[in-house]
Amino acid sequence: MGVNLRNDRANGGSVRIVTTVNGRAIEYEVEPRLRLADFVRQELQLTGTNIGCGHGVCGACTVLFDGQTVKSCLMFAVQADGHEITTIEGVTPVDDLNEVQRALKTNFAFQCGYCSPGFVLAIQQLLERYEIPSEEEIRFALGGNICRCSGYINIVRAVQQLARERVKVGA
Amino acid sequence: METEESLSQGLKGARYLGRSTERREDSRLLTGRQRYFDDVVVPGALEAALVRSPFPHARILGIDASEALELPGVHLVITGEQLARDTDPMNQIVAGYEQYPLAVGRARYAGEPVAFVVADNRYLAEDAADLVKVDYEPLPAVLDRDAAARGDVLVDEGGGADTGEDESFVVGEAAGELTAETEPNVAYHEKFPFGDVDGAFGEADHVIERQIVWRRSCGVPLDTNGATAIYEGDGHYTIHANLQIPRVFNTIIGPALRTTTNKLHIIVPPMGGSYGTKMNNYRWPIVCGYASKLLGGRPVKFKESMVESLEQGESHAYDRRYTVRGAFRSDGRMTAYSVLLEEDLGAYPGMLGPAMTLKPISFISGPFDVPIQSYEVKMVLTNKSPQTAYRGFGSAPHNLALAAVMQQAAFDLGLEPEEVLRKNFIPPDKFPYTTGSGNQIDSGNYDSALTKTIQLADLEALRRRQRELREQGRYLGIGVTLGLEPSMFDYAYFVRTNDAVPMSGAPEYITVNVDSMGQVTAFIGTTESGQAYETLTATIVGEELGIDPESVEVVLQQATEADGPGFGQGASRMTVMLLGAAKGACDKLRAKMIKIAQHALETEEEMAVSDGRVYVKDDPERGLPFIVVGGIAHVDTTKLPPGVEPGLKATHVFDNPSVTIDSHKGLQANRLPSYPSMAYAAVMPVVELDPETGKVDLLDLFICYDCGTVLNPATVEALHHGGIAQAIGAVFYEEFTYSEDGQLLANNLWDYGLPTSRDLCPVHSTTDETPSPWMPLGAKGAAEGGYIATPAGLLAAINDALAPLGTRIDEVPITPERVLQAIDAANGGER
Repeated sequence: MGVNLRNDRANGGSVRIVTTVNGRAIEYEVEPRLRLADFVRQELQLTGTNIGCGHGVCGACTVLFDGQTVKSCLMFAVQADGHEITTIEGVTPVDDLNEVQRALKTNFAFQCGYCSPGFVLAIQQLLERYEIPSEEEIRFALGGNICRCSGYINIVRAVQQLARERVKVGA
Repeated sequence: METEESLSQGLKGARYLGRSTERREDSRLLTGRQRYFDDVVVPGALEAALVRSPFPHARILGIDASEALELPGVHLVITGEQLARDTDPMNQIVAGYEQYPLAVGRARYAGEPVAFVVADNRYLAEDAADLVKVDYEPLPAVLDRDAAARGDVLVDEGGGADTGEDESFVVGEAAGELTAETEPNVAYHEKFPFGDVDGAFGEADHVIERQIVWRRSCGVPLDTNGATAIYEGDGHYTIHANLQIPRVFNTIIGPALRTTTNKLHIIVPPMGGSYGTKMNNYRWPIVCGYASKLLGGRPVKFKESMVESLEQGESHAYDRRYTVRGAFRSDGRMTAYSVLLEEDLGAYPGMLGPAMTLKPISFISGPFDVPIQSYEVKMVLTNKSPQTAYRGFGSAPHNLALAAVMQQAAFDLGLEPEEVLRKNFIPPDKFPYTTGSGNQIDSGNYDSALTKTIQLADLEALRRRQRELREQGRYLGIGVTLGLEPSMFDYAYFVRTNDAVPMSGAPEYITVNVDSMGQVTAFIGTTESGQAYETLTATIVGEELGIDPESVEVVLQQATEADGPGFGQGASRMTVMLLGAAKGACDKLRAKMIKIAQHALETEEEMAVSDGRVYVKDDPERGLPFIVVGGIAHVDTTKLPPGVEPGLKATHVFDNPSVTIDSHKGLQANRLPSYPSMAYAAVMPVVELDPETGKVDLLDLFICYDCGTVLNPATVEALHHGGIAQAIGAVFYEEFTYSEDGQLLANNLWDYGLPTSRDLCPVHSTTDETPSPWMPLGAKGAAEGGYIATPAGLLAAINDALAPLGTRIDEVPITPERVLQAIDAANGGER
């Protein structure tokens, strides 16, 4: 299994990278042109990261790169050398949902779910940036992730619910 | 949580249905565990890329793949010519046309696949595709209807105009003597007059004619089409594909591969969105299957990149020009309505585009009581991408054109739009109502839904605000519309354009099994792309058997292993069909369980089934739990009553209720669309338009939808949200723009604008409930209404804003540029 990515006619070689994925240090040989999204999905079999447009618009392939959301279809695996990658699998508790995932579920936020791993990570980052985000801040912060099923309405509601819960905890 | 009191009237006493039960699918989705097509690893699979035509129309003089094949890791290059030799063409729904998965001899649109390159992986396949040399002779291309009609260029030299003159299913009349010579590039042309249309127009006080253009857009799911095929020898294939209707289009894949449908093992993973678009993903199973066969059974995978998806064909929908006319009395009553639809199908008729132009015959005058009506459809071929299905199957543009006429009547006659709507609505006591085309529809109370929306929006206050703002030179617009959502389709009209196999009905089944441990599993024949069929089916079966739905497992079956006939998801009907099927299957199952329990308990008393037990009705203490009944049926079979077969499994097939409605039998015999169940939505958007920049701000959207009895309110609401967002896309952002030389400009998601969270406005929704007398529990279709009804409201709101500027817009999408053009036109070109 795994794909033969060393057969690069342009480069003829591969590069050794050391990276941390979901908290585990790993060492890999990759072709320089291998996209980070393909590295995660095909080499590491972390298929929760989905590829939508492949050109940086839809955000289905969102992962955290040193804690910041990035579109993994626009990065190369070699860029992960010396950095930390977190995918949806890395933020999911064993056989359970985290706080963000649970709020999305109770709000019927998604339908087909293809974009949902990207949204979970984008929302996580949004909640790190804004303590109590306004609706406008939520809509702006999620503008890099496309959902074709939901109209975003229940996604926004879920984030607002999370924000309200914070207020309660704080009070 | 819903209380007993808030439950639908059709669900009184229900224990599980009617509640907003959380979706069991969500835990998989939110954690990344859902395995979509691209996540399914088939060991040893090779991957493919396409060589696509850069010309909208060109003769293919030769293809030289030698250099590509020399590249290490490249296994195979397939050309159209090879496919034409070794496979059979994919069905076309219009008689007289032919299409293969790759262009044969001639490329007919820019991006049409010309060769298929198989390598160790996708990266290498793309490298190799670059090395394939294709010798093209560019030909002149036609890119719009009017150029096509001139006939200087024929998109399909062999194809000819079909006029629907086959007497076996003519209902209206053929549109004169049409042939390929008199109507070049017209794949099909037919006129359907119902009643004395000319007479009604002759007597009208006021006639409105509008030309409305709906430009190309579509569902554009983030998960593109793909297939992995494994040739298993002796004509057998295993095919993984995100194909929405494998039980329908296996009939294309099998014959194309020159094998039989029962040798195709098709596996459809959950799909990352479809909205109808993945109905036509049958070309990749064919090419991948053929490639695997040539490679001795090595699995071959192809997954479209987004650019390939948008360019290579069959990911576009509606490209329409309407000429619509309404005959009115001066009091606003419409007396006749006529439609000419000119559809730009693209380069091949395909399987779905033509049928989408015919569906609106089932509701030509929408919610309005105007039986004198006519519908003329002209399906034009051009050098653009062919089409696939999209949510509502052709209904959204139809609703939009009709609403534009009603709004114009209000403007012209000095009435408020709601007055015109109310004056023409089919009154509640006229249901079941027979439309001009003979489509009898179940139920509706349109005035009630409209009134609820008006109250929700506080229309009076909005109009006051509108007047105030106009004095300040600001332009608020309010759309007041109501659109129908036809559901419960049957097949009959799909083959109107082709004298192929007659079709009608569209049944679905459920199998319910109780295992030896008393555990319940339901099997259904559909794929899924976000509709929560597992959750809904578990709720339905739990309700029927009186057990906690959470304990019910649901398995989605695909083509060959399906327990019964069916279409699967599509046309806003699956959940309603599953209700009917589940009742039948659970009745059968209950009867058998009771027989087993009576025998084991040595009683002939009346028994009941609920809470996981089979018990004596008048003495509930005496009974057996499912585990014992299941145990007897499966493993302790000496305790079975004499003559009872071991096992505890029942299948029931539920046919489309329309086949039992007398008035619909004529439609089926005549191959006209039958949609007996009509949901609907009143939609009232509020916009502000800036006449300086042409920008339209969507401020609020009010909606009241009525889809009969609601089985899971939160799910239905969410489906409407999604539809509304797609409507906003189609009306403001989405367009498959072509350049003058035939190149698709919007071939990526930067240029094809899908709405983001920043583009949505607050949506205020409420519901009404008019149960269907014909459908199980009174439920109607629900998944398409948001998309079908909303565009009409949005266009109406914008034209309401433009009215004081003395202008209007007659096309979507409405870009700032088009708004400014409309304003300039009113000012004689000056601003």
